[in-house]
Amino acid sequence: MTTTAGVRPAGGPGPGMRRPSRRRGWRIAAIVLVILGVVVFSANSLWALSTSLKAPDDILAYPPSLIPNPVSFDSYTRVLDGQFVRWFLNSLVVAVGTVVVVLAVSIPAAYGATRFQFRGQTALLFVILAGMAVGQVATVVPFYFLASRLGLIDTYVVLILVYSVWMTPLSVWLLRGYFKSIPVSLDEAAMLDGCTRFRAMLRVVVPLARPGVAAAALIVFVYAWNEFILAVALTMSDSMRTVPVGLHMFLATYGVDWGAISAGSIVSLLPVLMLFLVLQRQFVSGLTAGTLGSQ
Amino acid sequence: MTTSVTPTLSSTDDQSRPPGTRAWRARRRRSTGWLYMAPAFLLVLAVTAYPLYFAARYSVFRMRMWEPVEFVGLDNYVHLLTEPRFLSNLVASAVYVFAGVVGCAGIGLGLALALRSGSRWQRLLRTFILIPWITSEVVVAITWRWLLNPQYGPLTAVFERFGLPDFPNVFASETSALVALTLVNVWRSLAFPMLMFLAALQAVPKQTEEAAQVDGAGYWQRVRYVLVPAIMPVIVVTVIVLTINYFNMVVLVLDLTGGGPTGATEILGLRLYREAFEYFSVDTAATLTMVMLLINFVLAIFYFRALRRQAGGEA
Repeated sequence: MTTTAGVRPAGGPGPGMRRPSRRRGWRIAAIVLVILGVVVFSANSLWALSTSLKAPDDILAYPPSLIPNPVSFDSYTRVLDGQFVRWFLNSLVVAVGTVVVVLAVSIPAAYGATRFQFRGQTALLFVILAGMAVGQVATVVPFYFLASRLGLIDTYVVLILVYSVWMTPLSVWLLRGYFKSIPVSLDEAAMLDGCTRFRAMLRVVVPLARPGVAAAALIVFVYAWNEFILAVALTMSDSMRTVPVGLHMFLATYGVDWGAISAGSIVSLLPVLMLFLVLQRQFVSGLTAGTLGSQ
Repeated sequence: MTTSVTPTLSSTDDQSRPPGTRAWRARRRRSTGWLYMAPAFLLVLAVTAYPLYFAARYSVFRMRMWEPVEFVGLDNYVHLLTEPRFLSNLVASAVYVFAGVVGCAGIGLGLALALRSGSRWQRLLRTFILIPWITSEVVVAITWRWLLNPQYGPLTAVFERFGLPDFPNVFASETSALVALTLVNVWRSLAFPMLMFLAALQAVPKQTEEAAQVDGAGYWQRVRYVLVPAIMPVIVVTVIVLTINYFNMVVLVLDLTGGGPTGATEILGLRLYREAFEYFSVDTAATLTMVMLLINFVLAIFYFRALRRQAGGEA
């Protein structure tokens, strides 16, 4: 890392020549662009934040203002009094459960794909990765009927299972790239020291692949946290809804209660945002090795 | 599912205690590899096989409330494929997916190239680009609907304030609604290609680019002849994942335009959702599922080709 950082400025961050005056022009243009980009990409979350902090009477005031005055937590208390908390917990259980199942299945699969050679291995890997190609909306109706026949509607289990199936291929793809970059001699050394192969995987390979595992876990969490169509089909009672479904129902039932909807949106954004800010560096380097290994 | 994990554990334990000959161990080793990959394989196989079986079976029956179930062969397909609404769904989907993927991958590549040196400002912008991507589609749709509201939306107020002409109701005309929907979707998903390409670009050896520079290649030439070819495999996978993802979207459209005006933005995913969960017509939903699975498989053929190159390259 430190060596590349030393090389990089010479490699040329900006297009164009390196004469001082032009460089300054580029720099200012770049900063303007960055600010513009920040505005464009945060516009609607900023708007939701502002709305969620307004007093109920100010929300629909025209012309609208960006700064809430006075600041009011009315919308938040209204949202947090209702079933939203329950939905939030449901989403948390489902998302964490999905991450656990996906990792439990895809770590061995990626390990098996990079550490063994056996007949049919390519075909096996091919089928796993091909799972990415099945569109999920096309499976909603079949899964709905299967789940109701098995009495699994309205359970965490069915959501976790279905989400896991969706995210396993991408996770295997990323982890496989990462595992490839870890020398096989390391697990062999651990096995010579008396580790079983399974333990060598858990204690040697997985810790070394932490950025890759973190990247996969994050992507899976975000997906499960935000998924809508399967969640709406596979849950029936209000108490088993997840956050996106609940917010959608807010829109349908309250119609114009923008305060509550905005507050709910902001609260739903918080866990993912925090996770990303904490793990961002690992995330990008994990993704790097994943795509590198796959080339 | 959990039962298939357990044998993996025990058999590896056996294998690491070396009582047998080399041949014994080699055989053991082969079967262990299978066991490591089996759970993921079975999960994925179940998800591909069952829906296909279900949809195929239900799509050849006619099921109406209060009427006996009747075998009708391919009638449901004929019915669906000849109705004007389905054609309009197909057109909307095609425009939405094609324009969206081209826009998203193109802008994503541009952003990845522009933001790859990772200075403080660039990292800041990268973080902000992530926000829409980690926001649920429901929230994206709800907030944009409000931002673009022609009566009391903030953009309307800004237009008025600066004396610009009235802010148009983008959801009123068929073309502008489809354009707005596509743009919001591109805006939402931009982080995915950007991150994939950024990661891939970081993996391109510095020397390759420097060598091209020494040979006199300018910036655009380096991008075109060195960088883009180097990350082509990742570009292909990203484009295909985006395509399949866009093709199967529902809720962004449902909450942003509701498929309107006059069905102009009713893409196939939304139609399927409605047939199943608003009209409760199982046979049409199953037929649509079948059609969508087929289209998915056609899209996937390209994906399979790209993957085979990857999966085969290592064996």
